[in-house]
Amino acid sequence: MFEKIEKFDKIRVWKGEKTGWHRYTYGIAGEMFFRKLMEKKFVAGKCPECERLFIPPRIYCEDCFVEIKEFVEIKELPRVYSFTFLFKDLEDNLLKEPEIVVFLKWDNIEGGLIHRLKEVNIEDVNFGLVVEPVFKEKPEGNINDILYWRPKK
Amino acid sequence: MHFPQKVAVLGAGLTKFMRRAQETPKELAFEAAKMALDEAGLTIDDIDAVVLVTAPDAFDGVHMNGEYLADGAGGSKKPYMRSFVGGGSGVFGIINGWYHIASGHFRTCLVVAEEKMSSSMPHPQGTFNAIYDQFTERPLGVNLLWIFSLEMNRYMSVHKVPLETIALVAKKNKKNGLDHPCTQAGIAGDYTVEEIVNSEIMCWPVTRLMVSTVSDGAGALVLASEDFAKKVTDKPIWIEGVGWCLDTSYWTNRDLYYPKYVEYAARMAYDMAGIKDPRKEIHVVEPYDPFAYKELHHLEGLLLADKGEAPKLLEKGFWDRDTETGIPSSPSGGLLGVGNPIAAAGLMKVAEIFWQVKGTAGKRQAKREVKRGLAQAWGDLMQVGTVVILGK
Amino acid sequence: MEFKGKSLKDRDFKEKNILYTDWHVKAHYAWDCGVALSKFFEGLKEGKLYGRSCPECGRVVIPPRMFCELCFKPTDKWVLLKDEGRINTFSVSYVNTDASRREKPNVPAVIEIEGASEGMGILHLVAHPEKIEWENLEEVLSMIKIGTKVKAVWKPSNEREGAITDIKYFVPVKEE
Repeated sequence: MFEKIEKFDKIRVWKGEKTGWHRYTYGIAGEMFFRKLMEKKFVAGKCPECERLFIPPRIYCEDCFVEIKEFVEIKELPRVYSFTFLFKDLEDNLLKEPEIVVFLKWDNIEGGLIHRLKEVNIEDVNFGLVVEPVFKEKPEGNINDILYWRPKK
Repeated sequence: MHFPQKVAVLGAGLTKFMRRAQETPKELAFEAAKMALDEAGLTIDDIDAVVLVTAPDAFDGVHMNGEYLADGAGGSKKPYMRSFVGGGSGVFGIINGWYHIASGHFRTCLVVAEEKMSSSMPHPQGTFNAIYDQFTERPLGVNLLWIFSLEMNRYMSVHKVPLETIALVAKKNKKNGLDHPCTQAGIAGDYTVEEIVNSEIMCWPVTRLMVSTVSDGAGALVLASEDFAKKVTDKPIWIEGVGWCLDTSYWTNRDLYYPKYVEYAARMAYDMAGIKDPRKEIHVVEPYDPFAYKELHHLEGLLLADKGEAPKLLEKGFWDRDTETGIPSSPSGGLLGVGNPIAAAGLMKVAEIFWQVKGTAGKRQAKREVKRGLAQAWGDLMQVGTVVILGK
Repeated sequence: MEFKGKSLKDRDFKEKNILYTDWHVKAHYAWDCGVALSKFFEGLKEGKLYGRSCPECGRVVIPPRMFCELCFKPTDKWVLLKDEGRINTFSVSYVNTDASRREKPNVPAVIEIEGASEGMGILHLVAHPEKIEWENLEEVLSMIKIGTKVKAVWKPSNEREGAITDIKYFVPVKEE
């Protein structure tokens, strides 16, 4: 039914691009979380029904589906819940030293944060390692206000 | 046709419609869904399945936006489905929710519609333009207004409708929108025909006041089976008919003056509802009105007026909210009077029919008795019609 | 009933009253033109407009396609069409592709192509026959109506690349 293409210079492509960009607000819960982060504090949302805490906080508990109005400061430090070592950058170049990406969780709190781990020997990275944040001098209200995490001193 | 279960609507919820909302898409979805559950007197534990509608991912700027929204829409750990037919999505979601229950498979279904268009910068136009064919159309330097103004000119010319008459739709809907609690700031108002016709020309014959705006917002409806509904309410509102139809995307090969696909969708819904004479049996209607002429175009496609007659009826006040002998059309204020967060705008129309039939539309309540109403949405490449009929 | 939503103003972003983050993504595509449109674009390069016909319903369609969407059968013949037609509908646009304002309008139109079946249109632009650029709405409306006959104005053959823009635009022509 279709004509056989014998000359490949007859295969045509049309090139184009998707233009535009995106601007995201942090939302009601996100605004509060990052404002507190600028003060070097971590807050969790507390569900009035199941009483679980959530980080990052949200304005609803997705299981009870009720509004969350209570936000509490978390003073404890999180632990490494999982980790991975990156040896190459996005362009496939070998990194000088491996980058460590960790998933951090606080005890008895739902959720957690993905971030960088530094000032540590690779051999010492393990599940349960307690870590502390190193903050940027001038916070801007985003996740990179934490420069990285390191083992608690 | 026989379906195992009749389907009732138990509650509706909306957020305000806004040019820029602070809430994230998830937060908007939650607020609307929670409100709908509250009106229904239910909790999330009563919900068996969730349907979510949102237009292209590129508006919210979240890839796989349906999955992203799942928890905010109440879909966490539940059978969850996202569907999408562009502007037709708001009503299409209700149709999808309907067959979840009509099939007998679920007792209840929460339908959520969300859109946060303000995320798309510098203007959502860049996303809209992607609807055009990338080979034969986009290289011409298209914008979304073209396709509407081309269709509007065709409609006006075939039926010889003056611009001033089409402006009456914007006048009516923008005035109705003054009474809607979710109306986007700066949209509703008491405009004169002159102001509407003489507002800035966007893409002739479309002027600025004949176009709906970019919006953020969400809406939700709680649907339930007859067995379930009768346990929680004495006066359920029923989904009596649903219909949908999609025409070819070769839009330059169709005569744009008449939306045949809307007619097919409407006929399907009327048949299901056992409606023989829609002009007598439909008491209030919410046709999709992203542009002023679209309301007239759709009223004709819905067979509520003969071809070319909707504008004449408009001049006589037949579609006014306080009509006693006509059919109130867009008593909510519609997309022109409330705002147009695409998928959420279509759902807002179903919510309006729900409240109108229930008799709780407040200041917006139609003057005549309302036992049955119809909501319709439209979208894709001048291509899809989606229809829902609600009744007592 | 309480309807929720916190509305922001442009000011809130400028004055940094709220937190936000921007994301720039570059998405580049190379779309294969496919069988029908590859031939169509080859034709444009030679200054020819091709349609395609359906053996079942006999329609000659443009833009060409390898299937008839009505009969759902393969189309089977290439048909050379004229590079002229009639305006099925048109508009007068003061808005650019990026939503910015144009000072002077352009005129997108659906043009029914001579030689194709009735109602077979393509989207293109209509220009002023002498000055190319239109002055304003009134000028367009004084020269163009639905049904007006138009003819393609081609790029010089050495500038054509096998694209819809090988036709620069259509211009209204006098009826014979």
